[in-house]
Amino acid sequence: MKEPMAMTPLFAVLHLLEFPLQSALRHHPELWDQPIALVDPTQRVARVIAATPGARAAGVVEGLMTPQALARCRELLIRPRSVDGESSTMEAIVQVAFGFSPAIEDTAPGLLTLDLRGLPGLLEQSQRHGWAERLKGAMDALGLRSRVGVGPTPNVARLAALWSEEVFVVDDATGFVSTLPIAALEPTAHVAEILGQWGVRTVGEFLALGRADLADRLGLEALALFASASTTSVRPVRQIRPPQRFEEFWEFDPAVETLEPLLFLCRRFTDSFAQRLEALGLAAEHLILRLRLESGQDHRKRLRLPEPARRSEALFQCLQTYLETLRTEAPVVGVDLSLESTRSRQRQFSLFEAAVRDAHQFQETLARLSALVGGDRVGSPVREDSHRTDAFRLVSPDFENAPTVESRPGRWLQAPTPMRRLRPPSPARVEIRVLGGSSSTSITASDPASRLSPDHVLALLSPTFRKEGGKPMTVTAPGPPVSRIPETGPNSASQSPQPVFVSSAVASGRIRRVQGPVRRSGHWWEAQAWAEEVWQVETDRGQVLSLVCREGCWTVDAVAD
Amino acid sequence: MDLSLFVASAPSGAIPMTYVELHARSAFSFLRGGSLPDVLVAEAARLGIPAVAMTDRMGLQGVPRFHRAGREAGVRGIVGAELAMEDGSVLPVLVENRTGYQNLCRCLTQAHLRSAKGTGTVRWDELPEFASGLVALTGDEEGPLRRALLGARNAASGGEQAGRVLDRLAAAFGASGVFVELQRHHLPGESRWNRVLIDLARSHRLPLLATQAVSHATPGERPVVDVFTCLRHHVTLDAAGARLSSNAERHLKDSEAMGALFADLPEAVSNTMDLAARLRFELSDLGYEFPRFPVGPDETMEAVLEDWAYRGARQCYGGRIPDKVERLLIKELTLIHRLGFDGYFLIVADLIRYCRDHGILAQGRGSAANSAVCFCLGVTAVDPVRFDVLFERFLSESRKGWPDIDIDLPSGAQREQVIQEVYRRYGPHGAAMTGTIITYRGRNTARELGKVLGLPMDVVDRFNALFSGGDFPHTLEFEAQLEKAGLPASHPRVPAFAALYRQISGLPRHLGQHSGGMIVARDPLNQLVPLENASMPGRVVAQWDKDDCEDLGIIKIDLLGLGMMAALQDTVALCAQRGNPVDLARLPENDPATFELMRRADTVGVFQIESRAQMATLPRMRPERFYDLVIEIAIIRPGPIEGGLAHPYLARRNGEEPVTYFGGDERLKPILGRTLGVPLFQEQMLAMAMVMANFSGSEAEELRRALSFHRSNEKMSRATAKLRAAMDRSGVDPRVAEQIVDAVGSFALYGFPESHAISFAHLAYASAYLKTHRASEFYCALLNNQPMGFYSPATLVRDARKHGVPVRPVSLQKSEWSCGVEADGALRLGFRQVQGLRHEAVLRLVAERTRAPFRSLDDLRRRVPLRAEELRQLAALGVLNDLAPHRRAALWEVERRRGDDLLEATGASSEGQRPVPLAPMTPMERMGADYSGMRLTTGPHPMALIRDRFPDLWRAEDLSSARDRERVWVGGQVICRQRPGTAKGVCFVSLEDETGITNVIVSPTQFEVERLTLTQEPFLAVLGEVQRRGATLHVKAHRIERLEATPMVFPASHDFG
Repeated sequence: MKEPMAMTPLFAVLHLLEFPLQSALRHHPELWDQPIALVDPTQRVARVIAATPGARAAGVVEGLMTPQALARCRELLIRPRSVDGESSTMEAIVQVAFGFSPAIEDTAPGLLTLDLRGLPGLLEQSQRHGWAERLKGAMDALGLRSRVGVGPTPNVARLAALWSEEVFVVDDATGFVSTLPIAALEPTAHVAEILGQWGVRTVGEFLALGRADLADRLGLEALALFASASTTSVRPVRQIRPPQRFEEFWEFDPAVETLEPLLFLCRRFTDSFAQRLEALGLAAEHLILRLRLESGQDHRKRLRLPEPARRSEALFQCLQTYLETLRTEAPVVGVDLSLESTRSRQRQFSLFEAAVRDAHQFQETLARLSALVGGDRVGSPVREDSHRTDAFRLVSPDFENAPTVESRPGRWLQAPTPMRRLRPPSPARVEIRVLGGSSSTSITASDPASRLSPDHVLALLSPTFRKEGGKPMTVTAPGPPVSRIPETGPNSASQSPQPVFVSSAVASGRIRRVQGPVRRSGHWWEAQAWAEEVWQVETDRGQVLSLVCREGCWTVDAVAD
Repeated sequence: MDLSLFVASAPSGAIPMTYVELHARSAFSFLRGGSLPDVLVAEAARLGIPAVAMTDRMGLQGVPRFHRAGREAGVRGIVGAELAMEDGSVLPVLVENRTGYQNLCRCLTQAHLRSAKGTGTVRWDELPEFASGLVALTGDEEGPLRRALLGARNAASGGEQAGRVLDRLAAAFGASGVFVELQRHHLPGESRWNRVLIDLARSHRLPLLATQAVSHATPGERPVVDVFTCLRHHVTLDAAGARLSSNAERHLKDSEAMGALFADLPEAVSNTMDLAARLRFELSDLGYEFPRFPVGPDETMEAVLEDWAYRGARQCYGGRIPDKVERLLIKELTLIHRLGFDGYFLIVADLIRYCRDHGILAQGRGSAANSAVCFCLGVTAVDPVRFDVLFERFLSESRKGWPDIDIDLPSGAQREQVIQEVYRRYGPHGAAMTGTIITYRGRNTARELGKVLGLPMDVVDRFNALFSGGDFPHTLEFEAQLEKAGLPASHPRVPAFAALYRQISGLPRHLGQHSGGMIVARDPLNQLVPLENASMPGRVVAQWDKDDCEDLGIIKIDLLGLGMMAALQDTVALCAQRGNPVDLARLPENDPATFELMRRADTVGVFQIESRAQMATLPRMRPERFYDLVIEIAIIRPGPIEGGLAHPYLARRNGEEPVTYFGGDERLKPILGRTLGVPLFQEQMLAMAMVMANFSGSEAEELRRALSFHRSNEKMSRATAKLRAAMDRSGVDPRVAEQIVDAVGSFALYGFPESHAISFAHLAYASAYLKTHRASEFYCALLNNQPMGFYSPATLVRDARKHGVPVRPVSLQKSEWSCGVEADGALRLGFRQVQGLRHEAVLRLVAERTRAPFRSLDDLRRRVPLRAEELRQLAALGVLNDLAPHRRAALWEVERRRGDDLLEATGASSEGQRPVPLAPMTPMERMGADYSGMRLTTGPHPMALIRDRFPDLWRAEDLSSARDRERVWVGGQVICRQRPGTAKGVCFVSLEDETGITNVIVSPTQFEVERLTLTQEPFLAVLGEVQRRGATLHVKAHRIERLEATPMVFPASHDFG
C-alpha cells in the first residue's frame, strides 16, 4: 500500500541565482541585458566572479582577470561586488519567505531552506509545484531571479534548487541525485581535483566507487560527500527568528506629496519597532530612511539616535524632525525604514563627566540647526591632520566619550604666539613691498576685481617670482591702483615681498615689524589644492596681527589682544 | 606682547653673500629625495651655486653621477651622507679628505653588512672610529639635536639633552668638525627653533651653518617627495596628513635668496663657503689599485705574462708561432707592460685557468676578443689573426680606464662557483658584485602611484595589462592607455597621476646587484665604495653600478651566465658519456648540413639566431660559411636595423643592388669590403672615422665612448658634430659625410664590436652544429638548462620530435632528475620537468631504484618518502605506469591510505589484485594532465585534438601551398610575442600547431585595437593575408580572435621587447 504523502518529510529550498550579481543589479534590472562582469574589490587581483548572459556569450567566465575579460568583450562593464547590497537582498527574501513557511533556515547567501512539514495543502505533487511556483512568483515580484527545489530532504531540495530548472519538485530522489555533476556535492578543492583526475564527473559515478574504498582514499570527506548525496537522511533545519529583521516598507499608490501620510506611516513603523525591540531587549541605534521618489531617484538618510532608544516616541521624534525640514524634488512613491539595533546600555558617569541632560532633545536641536544651515555645518569641530591653518571637520557629537587632551613632548618649542582668531577672517587691503625696492602694489580682498590670477598666487608663494631677468619686479595686480609708499626701513626677516601697510575693519596702519612668512600648501593632487602665506605683523599703532594671503586675497585672521 | 622673536633683517641693498648648499638629498636616498643628482647639479648651475654637497641616506649610490654631472656643469660636488643612527636620528656628515672618505665608506659598509638589506644603522659608540676626516652637521628635524630638543618636556631638559648631543659630536669629530645647522623653510615655529639652536651653538662655541636640507631641486618636485613619503609610510596621500611636506621650500636656493633668508645671521651663510673650502676631497682621488698577481720571488708580472702568452701561442698554433702572430704579441705585450696591465691579464687568465681545471666552460667576449694575447692566454676563442680584428678597439695608448674583458660562463651553479672563488681569493672586503640601480618603470610606477592616489587597483591592473607582455616599447599614448584602463580624463586624479607618472619614471627605487659584474681591489674595497649585503646569501654588492665603477677607474670583470654555455657543456658531456665525443674547439668548419639548417631557418634552440627576426633573415642571408654567421648575428641588432643597414646588406649580398662605398670613396673599400660596403661593426665605424675624418685611434675611441657612454643625446650630438666638422676639414663630400654621421650615430649605440659578434658566432655555430649532428644530446641539454632562449620546453620537445628525436615521458624506472638520452638516441624526460617534485625526493627514489627495482606502488611508497601531492603528480603524468595499468589506476592506488599491516610490509598487499574501478584517461585528458603537471606533453599537440572543431583554420605546414596575398585563417597556441623597439610598433606573434609554427605580423594599429586579446589569450585565431618574400612566409593579421581551446593549463608564451 502506498504510504500517505502527508507522512513524507518535505522541504523546499529557495535559491537566488548568481546572488552577488543579482544583488548588485537588483535595482537596475535593465542591466541584465548588458554584458556585465562582477569582480570582488577586496581581492588583490580583480577576477570575474559572475557575469551576465551577454558577457558569458562573449566568453567572459568566472576566474578571468579583468584585462582578460575585457579582451574577450570590449563593451564589458565591470561592477564591484557589494556585500551591503547582498545583505539587504537577503533580508528582503527572508521577509518574503516567512509568508510561505514559519520555519526557515538562512542556509547560505542567496539560499534559504524552508521546512514544509505540517503545512496544509501540499499532499499532491501538483500542489507542491503550485506552492513552489508561488514562492518563485513572489521572488519575481521583488525583481529577483530564483529557483525553487522541493524534495524529501533538505539536501535533495537544495540540489534540486541548485541544479535543475526554475521550479523542480523531486519525485525520484535517487535517480535525480545520481545524474548530478559531482560539483553538486561541493567537495573541497583538494578532493575535487582528485576526483577530476579520476575522471569522476557525476554523483552516480562517485557513489559507484563504493563508500569503503572512497573512505580509504579520501578519508572523512568521502563520508561527508556520501551524506551530501543521501536522499534519505534529514538534517535538522536551523531556524531563524523573524524578529531579527527591523525593516518595513510601503508603496504609495498614488504617490504622496504631503507630510501627513508619511508621518502616519512612520508612526506605525516605529510602534512596531518599539514593540519588537522591547521583546528582544534591544535598542535602536540608527534609523535608515529611504524615500523612493516618483522621479526614479531615492532619497536616503541615516539618522543616528543620540542615545540607543526603544521608545516609539523617541524614534518617531527623530524621524519627524528630519522629515519636517525635508523637501523632495518629486512625490514619494515608496518608503523603506530600517534600523540598526544594539543592546541597551547602562552606564555610570565619572566624577567630572557631564552628560547632556536630554540627549534626544539636544540631537533634535542639532537636527533643526542642520536643516537651517546645512548638515555639513553643524557638529563638533575636530582638527584635521593637515598643515592647513584651522583645517577642521565637523563630526557628530559623541555623548559617550569625554574628549582627551593629548600631552606631547616638545610642545614647549612649538607653542605659537597666543592670538584671538577672527571667524570669519576680516578682509584686508594690504600693500606689499618687493625686494626692499621702492615699488609696491596694493592688493585687497574687498574688491573682487583685485583677485590675483593663479599664476600670481604661485608666484607669490615662490621665491623665484622675485626675479625677472635678474631685476627686481613688481607684482601687478589687476584692478586697484598701484600706490607708491616710501621706504620704511629694515623690518623683515626675509626680503620676499612683504606687507608694509594694512587696512581692515579690525586694524589699520603702516607695518612696523614683520615676522614670516609661513608658507603652507597642500592637496596638490586634486582640484582642492590650496596655498597660503601667513605673516605676523606689528602696525605702527602697536597692533599685532596675523595676515594671510590666500589665492591672492588678504585677510586678517587673528589679532593679539 | 612678546615680539622678541621678530628678527631684524640686514639693510636692503646689502651685498649678497656666496652660498654653498651643504646638505642635499637626491633620489638616491631611495624614497627620501625627489631629484636625480644630475637635476640637482643642473639647478645649482642655473642658480649660480658653486658647490653642492650631496648627502644621501646611508649611501653613496648617486655620488659618481653627481660627480660626473658636476664636472660637466662646473659645479663642485662635495661628498657626504646622512647616517641613520641607531636611535632613529639622522646625522649628516661631509667628507673633508681621502681619510674621511675611506672612513665614511667603512662606516657605511659596517652598518650595512651587519644588518638585513636596507636596515643598517650606525652605532653612536662606533662613530669616533670613523670620524677622522669627516665633518658633522646637526641635521634637520630628523637630526640628533632637534630630536633631543623635541623629546624634552621643557626648555631646561631640552637644553641639557641637546647639549649632551653636541658634546658627543664634538668628542667624536672635534670642535672644528661640528656645525650647527639652521634651515629656514617658512614653517610655523621655525624662528623659535632656530633661536634655540643659535643659543646652543653659541654656548658650545660651535659655528652655525645655513642649509636648506634640500630634498628636491626645484619646487616642482615636491609632489614626488610627498608620494615617496606615502610609499615609505604605506599610506595614501589623503591619509598622509601632516606627514607630507608643509610646503615646497626644501629646494635649492641661490646665494641671494639664502642671503636674504639669513640676513640676520650672515656668518651662517659665509660659513658654508669656508667649510666648502675645507672639504677638499675629490672623487677622482679614490686611490684605487688593482690587485697584484702573486709571482715568484725571482719573477716579474711582465715576465710571467709573456711566458704564459708565448706558451699559449705555441699551443694554439701547433708548436710554431706564425710571424704575424708574434708581431702582434710583441705589440700588444709592449703596450700592456707600458700601461701596467700585466697583473690584470694574469688575474683574468688565472681565473679562466681555474674554470678549465674545474671543468667549467669559459669564454671571453667583448672587445677582449680583438687581442692576440687574450687568445693565446685562452681567455677568448677568436683568433685575431684569422679574423683580422682591430686591437685598438680593445686597448690603446690613449684609452682611459681598464680594458674590458667579459667572461661567459655556464649559468647556474658553475657560474656561482666562479663568483665564490673570486670572493675567496680577494677576501670579504676585496671583491664585490657591482650594484645596479633599479628604477621606477612603467608597471611598478603605475602600481605605486595607484596606491598613493587611492585609485582602484583593478583600474591600475588594467592600466598595467595594457603595457603588453615583456617590456614591449610603450607605443600607447598615456592618456589613451588611461582611458582604456577605465580611468576617464575627467577623473579628478588623472592630472596628478599623469604628471607624477612622468616625474617618477626613471627615478631610483632600490639597489640591486648586477647579473655578473665584479670589482676587485688591492686594498679593501670597503674603503672605496660602501658595500651591502645582497638579497642573495653569500653575496656582497657595491653601491655603484658598473658604469660608475668604470668611470672612476675601478676595474670590473663581468662573469656572465649564459644558458647556452651550460647547454653546450652538458651536450659535450652527454656525447662523451654515450661514447660519441665531440670537441667544441675542433668542430668541423663550414659544415654543410649545419649551414643548411640555418638556411632553412630551422633554428629553434640555436644560440642568437632563433628569434623571429633572425629566422626571417636567415633564408635571405643564406649563410654558407662562418663569417656569414658573424654578419647574421651582427645584422639583426637595433643599430644596423635603425641605421637602415640590414636591408642594403642583404640586397647587395643577393645581387639586388650594387656594392658601393659611401658614394664610391675607395678609401673605405679596405674597411667595408667584407661587409659589402655596409658598416656593420663598431670597429668599422672607428676605422671610417680614422680614415675619413683623420681621427687618431684614440680620437676614434673617444668618439665611440662619447656615443655609447650612458646614451646621452647631448654627448652624442657633440660627438657627431665633431666628426662632421673633421670630415668637412678633410674635404669629404657633405652628402657622404652626412651618411657616415647617420650611420655612426645610430650604430654606435647598439652595434656589436666585430670580435663580440665572432665570439657569439662561435657559440651559435657550435649550437647549430650540435643540433644538426647531436640532436638528442643537444635537446636534452637545452631542456636541462631551462629557462633560456626564446622558446618554452613544450616547443623544444616538439622541435626535437620534428628532428626525429623520440621524446619519451618521465618514467619511474628509467628517468633521472635531469633529462637523459637513452641507448637508442631517444630523449628521456627527467623528473625535473615535473612541477612540484622535490629534488631530494627524486635522488632518494633513484638511489632506491638502483638498489632494487620497485615491485609495486606499495613498494615505492614504502621505500621512498614521497609526499601525497608528489605521488599524485607522478601518477597523473603516467610516471607510475610501470607499476600500474594506466594513469587512473595509479591515481586510484596512490590515494589509498597506507596501514602498518604485515601484508604491506612484505609487499604482498592484496590491493593490487582488485580491479580498478576507474576508466583510463582519454587522449585529451592525458594532454591536460601533462600540461598541468609539466607544462609540456610528449603526446599530440593541443591543436591536433581540437582541429576538427576548426575546419577553416590552415595548418602551419599547409601554408606553403597558399598563394601570395591569399586570405587565410590561421590559428594555434601563442608561443612567442615579440615587439622589438626597432619594429616601430609592429608585433610578431608565433602560433604553433601540430604541424609547425605560423608567423603572424600585427600592424601597430591592429595591435592597439586588439592589444588585450593579443597579450592575454593563450590561443589565437587570425584572419590575415599571406605574404611571401622568397622563402619567408608571414600572415599579416586583419582580424584577431580568441581561439576557444580546452580549459586547461598551458605554458606561458615567451614575450620579448
